[in-house]
Amino acid sequence: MNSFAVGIGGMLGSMTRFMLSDIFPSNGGFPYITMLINWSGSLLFAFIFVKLSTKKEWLKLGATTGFLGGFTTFSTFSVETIHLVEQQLLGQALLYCLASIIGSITCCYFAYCFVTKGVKTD
Amino acid sequence: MIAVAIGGFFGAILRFKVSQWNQKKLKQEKFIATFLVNIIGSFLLGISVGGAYNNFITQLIAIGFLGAFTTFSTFSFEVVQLLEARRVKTALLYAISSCIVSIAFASIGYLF
Repeated sequence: MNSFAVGIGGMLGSMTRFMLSDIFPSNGGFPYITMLINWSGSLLFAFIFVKLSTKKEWLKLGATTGFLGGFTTFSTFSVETIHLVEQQLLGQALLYCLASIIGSITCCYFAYCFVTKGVKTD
Repeated sequence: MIAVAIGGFFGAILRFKVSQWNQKKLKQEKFIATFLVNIIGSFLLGISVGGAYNNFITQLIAIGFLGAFTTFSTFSFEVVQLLEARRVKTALLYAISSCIVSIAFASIGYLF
C-alpha cells in the first residue's frame, strides 16, 4: 500500500514537473525552472511533512516521498550544471549550483520553522 | 506524458525501496539512501542525455524514471533536520558532497 502510494505520488509529481518545464522551456539558457521546482518542492516538503505527521502513513509517504520526491529532481540539476559548464558559462554554472542548494535548504528551513514554531528571524 | 508518468511511478517506488533497504539492511543514517540515489541517478542521467528528449524511451527514462528516482526536496529536508539536531558539520558535509559528487558522477556518465 505504501509503495503504491509512493508510486502514484511519483507519477503525479513527475507529470507536474514535465508540464511546467514544457510550458516554461529554458532553451539551453539558465535552467531557472528546475531551480524553482526544487525550491518550491523543498518548501512544501517541510510543510507537508509536519502537517501530515499525525495522518495515515500511506498519505504522508505518497505526498512527500512520492509526489514531492518525484516533482523535485537532482539528476536534472546535475546534468544542467554540466551543460552550463560545457557552454563555458562557468559563472552561471556556479550560480545555478549555489542558488539551487542554498535556496532549497533555506526555503525548507523557513517552512519548517513556520509550521513548527512560528517564523524565526535569527 | 504517459512515458513520464510510467517512469515517475517506478522511479519513486525504487527510491522508496532503497531507503527501506537502507533502514533494514545497511542500517546507515537515513540521508545515506538519498545521497546514494542522487549520485546513481545523476550518473545514469549523464549517460542517457546523449540523445534528444523527444522520444518515448528517453522521456520515460530521463525525465520520468531518473527525475523521480532522484530528489531534491528530501535532500533539503534532511539537511534541515541535521541542522535542527545541531549537527552542523554533518549537514554541511552532506550538502556539499551531494552537490559535488553528483555533478562529478553525471560528468563521468556524460563522457561515456
